[in-house]
Amino acid sequence: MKKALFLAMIALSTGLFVAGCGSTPPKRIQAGGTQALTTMGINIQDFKRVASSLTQAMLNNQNVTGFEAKNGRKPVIAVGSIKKSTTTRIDFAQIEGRINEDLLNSGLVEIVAVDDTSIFVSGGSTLDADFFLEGTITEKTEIYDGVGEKTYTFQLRLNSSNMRTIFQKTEDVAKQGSKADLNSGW
Amino acid sequence: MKKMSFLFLCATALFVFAGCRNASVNATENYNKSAVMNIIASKQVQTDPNLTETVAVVRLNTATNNVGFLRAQASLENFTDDRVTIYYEIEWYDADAMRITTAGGGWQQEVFEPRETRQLVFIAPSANAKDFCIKLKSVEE
Repeated sequence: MKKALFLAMIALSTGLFVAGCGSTPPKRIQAGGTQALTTMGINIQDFKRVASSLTQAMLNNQNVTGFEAKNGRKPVIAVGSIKKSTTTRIDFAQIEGRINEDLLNSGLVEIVAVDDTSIFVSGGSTLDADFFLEGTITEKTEIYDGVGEKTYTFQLRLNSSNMRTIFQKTEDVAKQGSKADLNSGW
Repeated sequence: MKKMSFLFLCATALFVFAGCRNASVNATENYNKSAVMNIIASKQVQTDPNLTETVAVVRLNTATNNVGFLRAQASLENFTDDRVTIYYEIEWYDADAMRITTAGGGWQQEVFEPRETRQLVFIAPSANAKDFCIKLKSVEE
């Protein structure tokens, strides 16, 4: 009896010990930093990199940088929506918000948010905007020899009020993993 | 016979490893440059000697665009015969040496082919940015 009780206690203690060592408590990390997860989807690090690249390119474009000298005021940019053509779930606010924030903080432009992008196309706009910003995200998947690859292409366009494209920038994010990884995450 | 077998084994191993090697990068450019580069003096703080021998900044040049935004270009060189992935981040500082934060940017990954030299180009987030610091970090396996 004593022996059985002793063995049961050993078994219980071992089980609790293993369970305690096996669990990984949550911890705080730097968002999009070097410890952040990399999956086959678009991660925070990707959003930050793409937003930065697209914004920097736009802030270096002559149509934007030369506007105030020519017109005596900052350009007003109406920010439209980013359209996606991917099967992957993407939180557009991650990239739209970052681009808007960095554009605004540059001090180079003024921003107007637009929900309905058709107002520019139809010419029925009452907005006093000089440019219209829009973007698209597309996705391409390739599989070969057990290796899966996803390439997300972000494209940002700046159109004038008469819908002429005056700036366009493309940024690709490519991820490679196993074929199983392609189906596991987004 | 044993000697022949040994030599054959060595030769086979040599071919196998030669095939596994990552091909390095050759580059050709115009000799007489028309671009005028503003190469700036830099100060490096190295806490990872392994990284310094792997990938490092070999040149820094800057320019300013027509609205006073600072542009920085860092030339990084991979000194090894291996493909190397590193993290990099640029921090911008205003005239008071206070850091300017951005919604984009942060730590980014970049892959360098063997012996490759590549430029990373950065544009300041605003005309207030006067100085910068580029940080590099190894990717932990």
